[in-house]
Amino acid sequence: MTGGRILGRIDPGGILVSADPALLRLQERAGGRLGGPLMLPQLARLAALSMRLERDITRSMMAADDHSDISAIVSIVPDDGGVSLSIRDWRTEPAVLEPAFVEPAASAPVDAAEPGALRWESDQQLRLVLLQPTDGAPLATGWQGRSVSEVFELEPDAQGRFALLLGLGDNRNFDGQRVRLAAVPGEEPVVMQMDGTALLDVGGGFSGFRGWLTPIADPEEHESGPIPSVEPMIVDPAFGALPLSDPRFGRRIDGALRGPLSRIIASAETISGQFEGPIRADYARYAADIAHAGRHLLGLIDDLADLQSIERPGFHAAREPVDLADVARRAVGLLAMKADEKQIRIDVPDQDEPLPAIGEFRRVLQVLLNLIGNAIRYSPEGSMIWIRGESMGDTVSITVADQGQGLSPDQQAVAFEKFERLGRTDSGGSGLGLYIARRLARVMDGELSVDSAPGQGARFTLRLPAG
Amino acid sequence: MALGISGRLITRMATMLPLVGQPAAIWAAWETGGVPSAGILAPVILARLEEYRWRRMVPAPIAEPTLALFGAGDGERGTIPLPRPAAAELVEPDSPAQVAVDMAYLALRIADAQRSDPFGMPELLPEELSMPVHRALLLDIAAQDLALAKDPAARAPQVAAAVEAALGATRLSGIDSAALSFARSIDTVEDSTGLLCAAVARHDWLAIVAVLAAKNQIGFSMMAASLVAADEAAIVAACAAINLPRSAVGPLLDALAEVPARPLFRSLPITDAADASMAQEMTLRAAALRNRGEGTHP
Repeated sequence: MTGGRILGRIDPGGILVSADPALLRLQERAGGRLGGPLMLPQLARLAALSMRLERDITRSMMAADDHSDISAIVSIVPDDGGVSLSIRDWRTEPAVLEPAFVEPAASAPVDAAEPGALRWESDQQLRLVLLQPTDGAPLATGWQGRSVSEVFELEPDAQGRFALLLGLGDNRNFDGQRVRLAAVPGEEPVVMQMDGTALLDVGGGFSGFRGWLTPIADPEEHESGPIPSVEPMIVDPAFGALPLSDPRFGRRIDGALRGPLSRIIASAETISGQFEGPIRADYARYAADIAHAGRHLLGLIDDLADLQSIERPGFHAAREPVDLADVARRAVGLLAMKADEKQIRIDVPDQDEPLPAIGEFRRVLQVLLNLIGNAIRYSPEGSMIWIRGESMGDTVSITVADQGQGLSPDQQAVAFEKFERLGRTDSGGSGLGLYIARRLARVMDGELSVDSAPGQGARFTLRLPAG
Repeated sequence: MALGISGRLITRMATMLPLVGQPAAIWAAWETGGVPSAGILAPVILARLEEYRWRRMVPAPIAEPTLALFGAGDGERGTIPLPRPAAAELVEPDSPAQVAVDMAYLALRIADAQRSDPFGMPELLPEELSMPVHRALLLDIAAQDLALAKDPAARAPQVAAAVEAALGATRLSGIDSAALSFARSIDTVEDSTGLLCAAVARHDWLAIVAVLAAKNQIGFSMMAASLVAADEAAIVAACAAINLPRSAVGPLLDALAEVPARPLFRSLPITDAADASMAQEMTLRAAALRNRGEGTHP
């Protein structure tokens, strides 16, 4: 082996006349030997091609033995006495053996072997291309090409998030998405857990999801935990027997609104995208407006759910070590697409400049997502956002600075008030984001402040105890 | 995996016939005792297997896209991975023609998804077989089952009629039909060559094989097998039928070169013309089956 390369030589008759140990081992596992014909078909073919064309060839190659798959890049140089092989990037991975014709229960993943489990696949627009029961049970037709959200009713998790939509947003794998499938009209819908693997093409382009749907035997056990019983207080006749102050009331409202809203958004996007066929351009725009308004309402529900959580007596945040710089980079990653749409550049803290703090990771991320999201929303196109960290004794801070219009002293005084939109009338936010962000900062024994002047951008600073 | 594809195909075909035994018993018997028409079955099974392996081979993305962030002038500083780009769709669904392409491609994906078992393993559907292969396998299945019958002579006519009915019911497979529609929709788009080049760039072999199959008037499976088997000149010629530029044929050839068992398929025929004498031959085989009466299977 030379410089990480595996060398070998083949004579004009296809005989392996010399080989470094790794190549020889593979040849022997394939039933060959040194001095015998090369038993690796792809390599032999490339060698023959190189000899025939009398040209250097560099190609990736794949080979396998009983227990591993091997990939490498081989360069073949022909000469009068045969060809010389130089193999680099030799990678060995355990082979994934495909099951032969075996009974489904033995070859399927544990969950997928459950009665009622389904295999599913969608395209990049979440239109179903496959829905197949693993137990051979018949399935109603009509799902083909329909949106996942049309066929299944998506349910949020305890934090109000939809794993499927998060996966779609990031084009990444997801799991734990609860869905309801109305199997037969008039019967109880089947509650299932959905997971999906993102399908990416060679250029990294997202082309859909593929995964499993497994029935949940006892859906109540999979709820966000037992709901504590409370003394009956104020009973609202219009909404069951739950008192308005009961956290379950908000949760139910939350769940009751999300499902229909998600369907409205999905349907409006289907119409505006003209996926079912062309429609008039103005109708498509109306549908896009509906989808936009729906997303705004969904955002408002998120904020209200957060508001209810943080205003609940006894609300607290975990105290765990977090790296503010790392969280900031993650937040920027999540918002990069939005920034890119406006050609906004974001300067984040360097990888080797950690900012250790104490707080709850997801809450810190939530605060920074709000601050950076606002900065992107209210910054002009082509501008720049800076994120700077600073350590000051027992406190660390991170500042998000933009080149937007900035805030007057009067606006700064009320920026953190509930439902305060600082005179803006666009549909960009609910006016709760900064209020929630400051509450979260204070719950983590920190503070959120603003420093700005009209026309000079705004600087929002999150301070937390040093870690 | 080849055994798996074979087993699923034979079992699926066996369900088309009124058998004495269980459909799965046919393949179980063949697995231990040998496949009667192994010479006929092996090429089509291996072709499907190689198609599956070829289309599953997705090289790693060329580079992780990153968002260039600005710092102290150091190009490496502060770069973060960008979310992956949105789906590279065949076309933006603007015009009716483009919407038609989008819907036809969706139908093609749906049809292709049917070519796997509930656990994602590849399947070869009976309707994808050529008539002669289909006929030979059905007759072998019938013969195997007749060996189990108490009165094979009495049962043979019924089985032979079922074989005939199954062959008579064979229609254009879902994938072939979808491929045809997709190819037709592509024809209506102004920049159809651009779409196909984009598909090659994405290694979207489903789209490419579908269009090639339709233009060369052969089945999807056979087209995929032909690509896996053919030499470069034949592939270039096939691609010429869809006006694919040489620059786009290169990546296709490179991807095909990765198929490890490609040399095994050099002998496969490139066309799959219908056999005009099929009906007559089938009748003769069925008659022979009837005449043989019992335990006909070697």
